[in-house]
Amino acid sequence: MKTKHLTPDGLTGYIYCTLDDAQREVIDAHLMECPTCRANLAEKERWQRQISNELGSVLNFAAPSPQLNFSAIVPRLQNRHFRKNIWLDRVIVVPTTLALAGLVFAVFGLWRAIGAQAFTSPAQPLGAFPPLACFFLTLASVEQFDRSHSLRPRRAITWAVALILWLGSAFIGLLDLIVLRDLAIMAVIAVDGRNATAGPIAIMTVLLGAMLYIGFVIGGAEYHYKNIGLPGSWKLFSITLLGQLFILILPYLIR
Amino acid sequence: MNLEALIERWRAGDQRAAESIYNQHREQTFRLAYGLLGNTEDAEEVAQDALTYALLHIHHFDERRSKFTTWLYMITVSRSRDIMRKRRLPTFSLTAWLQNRQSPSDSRPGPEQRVTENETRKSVWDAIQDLSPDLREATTLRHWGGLTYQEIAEITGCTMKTAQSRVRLAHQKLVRILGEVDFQQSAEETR
Repeated sequence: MKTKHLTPDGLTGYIYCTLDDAQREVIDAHLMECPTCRANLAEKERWQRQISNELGSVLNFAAPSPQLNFSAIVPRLQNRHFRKNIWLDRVIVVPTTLALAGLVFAVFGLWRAIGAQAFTSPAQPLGAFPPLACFFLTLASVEQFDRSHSLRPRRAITWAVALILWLGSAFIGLLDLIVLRDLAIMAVIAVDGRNATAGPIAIMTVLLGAMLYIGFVIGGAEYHYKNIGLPGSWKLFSITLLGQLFILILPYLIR
Repeated sequence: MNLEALIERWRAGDQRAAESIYNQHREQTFRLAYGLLGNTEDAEEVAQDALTYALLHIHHFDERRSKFTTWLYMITVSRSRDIMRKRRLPTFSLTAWLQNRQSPSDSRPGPEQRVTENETRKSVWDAIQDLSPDLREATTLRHWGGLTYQEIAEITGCTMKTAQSRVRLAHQKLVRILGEVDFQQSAEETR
C-alpha cells in the first residue's frame, strides 16, 4: 500500500507549533509509523535551529555605536512638558479635517438628494457633493495607513475617524442605491424601450441593493469594531469608498 | 529596580529613571532594527527615534494591554517601515549593497577553520534580508526575539493566524534559498 506522506506545510506548522491539537495528534500518529516523515521533520528542525542560531549570532553581536546614547535625547525629553498645542498636531488635524470634510459633503449630498426627491423619482442629478465626500473620506482612510500600528493605545482620534468614515460610507451607500436603481431603469429602457417594465426592475434593484447595503453596513461595523486602528480596517474603508465613488461616477462614464 | 517602578518614576518626571529605561533597552532596540533594516546607520536612527518616542509618550503606554518591550518593538517596527518606505530600499538591492559592505561576521575574521561557519552565517543573513519586509519582521521577531505569535501579531499589526503563516512561509522560503546555496557550494566543492 502506498503511504501518503506529510506535506512540507504540515511539518513546518508542526515545528513552529501553529497547528491545533487535533492536527498535532494526526501528525504525531503518522510520525510514529513513518521513518521518511521523521527524517523530513528532523531536516526541518535542523533548518529551524540553524536559522535561529545564525540570526542570533549576527544580531546578538551587533552593537550600536557610542553615538546612540541617552544624552543625545535629553534636550527633547526636557521639553516634553512644553509640547505643542494639540490642535496643531498633524496626526490629529489632518485625518480629522479630511474625515469631517468628507462627512459634511456626504450629509450635503444626502440632504440635496432628499430635497430633489431623488429617492422617490428617478434620474435626479446628485451633484458633486457625493463624489467629493468619497474623495475626502478615502484620503482620510489612506492617511491612516502609516499610523495604524498602534504606536499608542487606541485613542479617541482613532475611534472618531473610524466612526466618521463608517457614517460617511453609510450615507454614500444610500446615494449609491439611487444610482444603481437609475442605472437599472436606464438598462431596461435601452434594451426594450418600454418604460412600463422599468418599475418592477427598479423595485427589484432597490430591494436587492438594500439587502446588500444592510449587510455591508452591519458587517462592516462589526469588522471595523474588531479591527479598529489596524491596517486591514483602514484598507477596507479605502476599498469600500473607492467602490462607492466608482458607482457614483458610473452614469457619467456610461453616457 | 524593576521596569514598572522605573516607568512610574519617569512618569513622575525622574530623568534618571528615563536613562535607566533607555540603557536597558538600547541594545535590544538597535538589534531588532538592525535585523529589519540590515544596516547600522539606519538601525541606529530607528532605535534612537523609537526610544525617544517611547520615553516622550510614556503616558500612552498601557501596561494592562502589553509589555513595555512589546510596545517598544511595535514602535521600532513601525519606524523601520517608515525608513524602508522613505529611502526606497528594495530588498534585492539591499542585499547587493550589503555584499559590498562588511557584514558583522566579516568584521571579525576568525581562524581558517571557521570560514565555513561564517559563510553559513552570511548565507542565512543574506537570505533573511532577501525576504519581503512582512516575512522578515515575523522571522526576526520569532527566531531572534523568541516572541509568541500573539506578540508578533500585536507588534506587526496583523492577526495571530497571519503571524503564524508568515513565520511558516518565511521558513519555507529560507529553506529554499539556503538549500540552493548549499547545493551550489557542494557543486563547487566537487568540481
